[in-house]
Order: sequence, then structure tokens, then C-alpha cells
Amino acid sequence: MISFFRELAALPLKLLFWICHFLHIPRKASAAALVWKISREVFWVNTWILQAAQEQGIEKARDLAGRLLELHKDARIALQMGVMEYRFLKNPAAAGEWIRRAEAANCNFQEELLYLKLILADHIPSYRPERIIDEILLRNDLSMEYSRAARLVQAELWIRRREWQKADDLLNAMLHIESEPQIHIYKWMTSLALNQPEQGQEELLIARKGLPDHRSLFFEALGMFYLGRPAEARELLARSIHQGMDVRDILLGEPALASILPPPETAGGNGR
Amino acid sequence: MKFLLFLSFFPGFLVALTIHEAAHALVSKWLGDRYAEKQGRISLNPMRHLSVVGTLMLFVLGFGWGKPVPVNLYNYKHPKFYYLLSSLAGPFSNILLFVISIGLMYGLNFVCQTEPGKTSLTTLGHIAYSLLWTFLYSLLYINMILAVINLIPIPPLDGSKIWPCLFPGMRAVFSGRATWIWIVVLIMVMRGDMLDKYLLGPVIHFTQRLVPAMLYEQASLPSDFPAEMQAPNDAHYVHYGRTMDANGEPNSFTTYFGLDQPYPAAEYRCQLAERLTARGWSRLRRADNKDPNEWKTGDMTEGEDGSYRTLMWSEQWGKEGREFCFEMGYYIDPNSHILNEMPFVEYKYAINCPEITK
Repeated sequence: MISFFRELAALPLKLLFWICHFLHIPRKASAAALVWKISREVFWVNTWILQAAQEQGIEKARDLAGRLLELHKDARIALQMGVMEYRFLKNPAAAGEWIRRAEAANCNFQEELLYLKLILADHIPSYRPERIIDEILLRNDLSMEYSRAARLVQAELWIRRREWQKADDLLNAMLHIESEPQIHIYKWMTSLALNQPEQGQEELLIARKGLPDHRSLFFEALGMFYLGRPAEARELLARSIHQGMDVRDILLGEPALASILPPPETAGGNGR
Repeated sequence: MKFLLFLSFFPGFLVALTIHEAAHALVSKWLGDRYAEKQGRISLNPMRHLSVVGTLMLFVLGFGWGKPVPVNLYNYKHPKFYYLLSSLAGPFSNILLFVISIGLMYGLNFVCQTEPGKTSLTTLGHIAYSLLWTFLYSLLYINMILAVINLIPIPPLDGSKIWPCLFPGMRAVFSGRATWIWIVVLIMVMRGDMLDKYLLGPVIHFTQRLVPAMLYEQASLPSDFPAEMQAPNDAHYVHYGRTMDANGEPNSFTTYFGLDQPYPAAEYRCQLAERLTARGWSRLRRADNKDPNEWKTGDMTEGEDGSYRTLMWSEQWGKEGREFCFEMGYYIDPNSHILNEMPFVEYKYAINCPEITK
């Protein structure tokens, strides 16, 4: 009951925050902090940390997140910081450090860290992807995002190993449930590998509708790379970079693509 | 007035919404997905299911919503079929509560009524009965409305999850994108006339036929009232009132009574006419009104309090130089488009007969 009234009390501030957001008014960290203090909704502590990072720099945000993690023992704060370290700062080691801190502090909601472990599995040897995938798939109390992510990583692992049929079956089962661009793009890869070009073309068109151009081109390059067509992969990768794909994101997504990265002067784009 | 009506429906809304959302979560758990359970959604605590914005909208727009129950379809062995079952669980729980409410209303009336027009209740018992009956009435309506509205295939309503599962080739999960567009569509549908006219109207009409009438201790005709003023025996509530006439004398007698049967105008007009004739009264004139049996919605006039529309029938009767004017009034909710869909019709005999009492 308390949480309902907390949320109710925080509603005007939330509205104010979103108005500021749409009007691009800076310095919203304190508003987000206030909403968090009133509502105690984890979304708002994450927003606070994100705003603090934008307004005061990453070091301040790290200090803030560290203090909040110690105080509230909520692993979702570590998850937020870890994802931020990985996605925005391209620093898997720092992201992994947040998992360690949350575990050391014996936080609640530790299962939420599985998502971070999953995306870091390619970069931190102690997190073997298969083990993390199994750990997620064996549970039946996680959100659909976790199950989807684990299955997509599983499909990608099979695609890397050229176990096309296994990946295709998994993707078909996923497409029976939902339509997500990343599922379609992996399905495009398996369709091409299984000699179903028409099906592949259909999947690619659907995926392109749901992805920004640079992301779509990156995945297409990835597909060509896995299919053993490096020349096409290189060309698509160059186009992806030209459209704005960050090279660091490419290397985080698939370190093996380093071998076909175009030289910086021909690639254009932003992120070098 | 509308606010009070709304408040009387709020407890029913709380119960219906709580059961609806908890049913989704419980069935999802039975089918292998414990995500909603982990979120604390298998609970009869309404606060776990109420959405702050959805509750505020109840006051602003006249309809509200709860927090959607999160499910993970990947935890289901047969995702599409199990998603269909867990999505149907909400509306099904509402239909179940609807049936239980009707059963309890009949049970309550059975226990409290000794004979037609008589109850075994004390004053306090009447208050308790009225409160309970009002609660069950609100529960019944809210449940029926929730069950029906949730079958509309517009996200985020359950219908948007149910219908795709029924069609081969469609994916279980309706695209979550453009959610706000769907919410605007939903608000337009809910605020428009079409929903009332073609979906809720007929459903409410059907529901009305099933609901028992609330018991009233039928008041006896006061001793100084003309015998002609006796209300019909099957009226489910009766009120005898006395007011000043044009000369300031307390000679205006009014009998109010409510009937479950909508629109039996001719029957009750004839009943009163027969009663008057039997006592020697004869009809002098009739106001230039249409026959009540031919009344249409367009014939309605605005009621005095603005919240009801009134259809009036009046006749003058005379006996031995005395004049007896009676009016038969139908009080009808202005939101109802069709007379036959009235939950009940309230009748009034209003007689101004100074000669009788002198």
C-alpha cells in the first residue's frame, strides 16, 4: 500500500521531469533523485545515475552508484551501471567490476545480474556463455527480455559454430512467439545458410524495418562474416560505419570482425 | 450525483480489478511461468495491482486500468495456447465473479424477504442489506464491463493478446510498438458512443434481466391518503409523499414506485384507471400527450434536476364536482438511448385533490 501512495506522491515530479526531458532542459539529475527518494522505483534511481553521468561525468556517477549500492543493496543499480559501462563507455572490465561489487555486497535481486553476465560473456573468460544461458533458461521467474536475450546469444553461438539447423529451429520457435528485428536478422542468416534465399530476403526486409540503418548493416556484415563471405562482410561493415556505427561497438559485438574492419580513412563514420 | 454513483462503484472496481489481475498471474504460474508471482502479483491486495495513472484516469476519464501482469512466454511449454489461457483468465475470473454476485444477490433476497413487499430486517439490518446489495450490484456491473471490454482487440486490453492466439499464423505477442497510439485509440473508443450503443448497451440490458430487484419494505398507504393512491403490489419500492398544493395546503399526494419491468405503461395506466372507475370517478380530459406506449427517446423532456429525463402522462378525473388530476411519470436515465434498456422505471402518481381531504 505504501508503494502505491509513494508512486502517487511522486507523480507530479515525474510529469515535471518528462516535461523537462521533452523540452531538453538540462540538469534533471536532482529531479530524478527526488522522484527516486519519494517513489523508490528502481527506474528512477537508474535515471538519476544516468543523469548524473551526463551532467557531472562518469566518475561522479560511479561514486553515486557505489554509495547507493552499499546503502540499498539492490543489484539492479549495479546492473544499470554495468550496462552503462559496457554500452556507453565500451568497458567490459569496468562493467564486470559492478557484478563483483554487487555480489560482494550481498545485494538483493542478484538474478538481475545474469543479463549483464550474458552480455559480458564474450569478454570475461570466467563467464562462459553456455553456462550463463543455461542458468537463465533453467529459471522460470525472469522477465521475457532475459529469456529472449539468452536465446539470441544461444542462436548466435550456434551460428558462429555453423550449426545452422539448430539455430534455425531455435529462431523459428522464437518467431512463433514474437517478432523482434534481431530474431529476424539471425533468421536471415540461417535461411541463407540453409539455402532458403527467398525466406532470407523476407526476414531481412522485416529486420531492416525495425533497426536503424547502421545496426542493420552491421548485422548484415556479421551474417556475411559467419557465412564465410568476407568480401561482402567488409563492404557492409564499411557502409555501416559510414552510416554512424561505432567501431568499438562492432568489436564489442564480435571481436573477430577486427580482421575485416576497413582502414579508418576509407570507412568514414564516427567512433574511431 | 455522478460522483456519488462513481464512488458506490469504486469498491466493486477494486475487487474486480484485483481478482482479474491476480487470475492472470495465478494461471500463468500454473502454466509454468513464475515471473508474475515473483513480482508479487498473485495477491489479493489491490495496491499490488492498481496503477497510479490508471486509478487517476478512473476519476478523470471515467474508466481506469491496473498494472499489466508481466508474463514470459518463453516459460510456457505451448506458448501460444498457454498465453491464450493466461490472457483469458482475467475476463473469465470477471465472469465468474459476475455469476457469484448474482447468486449472492438472489441468496440475500431469499434470506431477507419474508413475503412480497415484506422483509425480516430491522432498521440496522436494512442499512447493512442496502450496503451489501449496493456492493454486489457494483461488483456485478464492473465485472461484466471488465470482462466485455477486455475482449476488445486493442492493446493493452486482454483482447489484443487473446485474438492473435486464436488465429493460425499470427504471433502470440502483438507488437509492443506505438503503445501510446493504441492508448489514444482506446480512449477514443471508450469515450465514443459506439461502445455504449453496440457493446455495453446490449450487455447491460442482458445483465439487467438477470439481476434481482433490491428488497424494500413496502410502505403502507398512509391513513389520510386517498385509497386510489395505493401503489401496485409488485412495486419493488414505494414511497408515499405529501406536499403543498398551489394554495399552500398539504393536499398534494404523491406515490412513487419503481418497477423492474421497463415500460409496462399501459398496464399500470389501466390499473389505476380501473381503480378510479371502480370508485366512481370518470375521466374528464386528458392532456394532449401521446400514448405512453408510443413514447420514443426523442419525446423525452429534461427532468427538473437535470440528471433524468421525464416522460409524463396526465389525466383529469372527476366525481361529484371534485377533480382528481393524476400524472404518471417515467424517470429515465439520459444516458440510455433505448427505453427498453432501462434498468428500472420509476413511476409517480401525483394527485392534487383538495376536495377529497376536506
